[in-house]
Amino acid sequence: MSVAGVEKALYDVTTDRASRTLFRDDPEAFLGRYRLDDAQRAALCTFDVRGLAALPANPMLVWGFWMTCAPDRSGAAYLRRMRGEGADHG
Amino acid sequence: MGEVVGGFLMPHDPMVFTAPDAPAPAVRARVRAAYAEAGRRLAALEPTTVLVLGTDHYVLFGPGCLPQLLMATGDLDGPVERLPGIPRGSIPDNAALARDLVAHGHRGGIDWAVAPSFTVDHSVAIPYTLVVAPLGLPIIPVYLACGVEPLIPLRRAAQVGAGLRAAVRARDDDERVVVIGSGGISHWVGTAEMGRVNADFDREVLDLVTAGDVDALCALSDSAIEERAGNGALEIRTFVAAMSAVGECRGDVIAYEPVPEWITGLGFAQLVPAGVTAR
Repeated sequence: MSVAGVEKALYDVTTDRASRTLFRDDPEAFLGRYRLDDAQRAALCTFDVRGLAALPANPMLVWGFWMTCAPDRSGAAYLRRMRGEGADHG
Repeated sequence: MGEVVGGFLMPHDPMVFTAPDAPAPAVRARVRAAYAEAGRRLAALEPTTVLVLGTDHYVLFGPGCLPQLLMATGDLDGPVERLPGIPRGSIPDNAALARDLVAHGHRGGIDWAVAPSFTVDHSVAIPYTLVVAPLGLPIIPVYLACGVEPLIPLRRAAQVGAGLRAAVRARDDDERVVVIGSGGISHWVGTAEMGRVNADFDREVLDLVTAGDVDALCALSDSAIEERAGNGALEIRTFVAAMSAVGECRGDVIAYEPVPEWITGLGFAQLVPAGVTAR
């Protein structure tokens, strides 16, 4: 699988409210629309921004995804996760 | 004959609005003063239209369509993002001039994508709001691919700027155009280094702007820019295009502020055509 499916999913959930709602309600079902492998799907479902950036998905999209969808949408939490620091590193 | 009477380079950092109190008060005041000074100088040029050269951040354009260069040729509104202090609304346009610039480009080998109805993002909305809107002038948004692959090559950005200049000068009216290159200098957007600023790189860029050295800016490799100044610094494509649109020019730095709290090195400069004194 290419990173294109990941970027398509990231773009849709960050820019389209309806897609964001579907993702929040049932991420596995929502992500079934996209051409993703299991690891990519897991990275999206767990907000593994470090893993997404390593694919490499565009970091602007990854940051936008975190700031619109993550449970803790703070910049500090994003950077901890992106840098692989702290207890919330997945 | 139409004329490009001058230009400006300035940042479009959304954190100026989303985290206004993050830097020290003196820093905030200097940044606001820089925008105000740019606005004062812009007014002195007595322009009729302002071209704002911005860039998408993977919000306006998605994986379904990623234009290298796009001009908004009709109705304008924005910004698409929610920015405290910038309510979304309509923006005055100069659609007739925009369509003419596009047609001139198409005849001359610049394949503009067009948007007859367009919602700008912060890269256009912030310079517009802080510098242009107080003067009541219409704008024409231009988007260059600076943030999403495939990026427009730096030398192509220079060609696009030169093409805009030729298109304006081909008009038989008295259109007075000012060009704004909208972009931060060093900043890492969404990467693990976000918050870092490289003031040395930023000052090198501003030195080249001051010298009007488009060739030296175009000689920078994307990998070197990204390594030294982050993915956000690839936005200097808008600087190169604006300088080329003004033509032979020198830069007059209005202000430079490295602001880690706003994750960006913020540079402001006026582009003064050769033989003209900044006012």
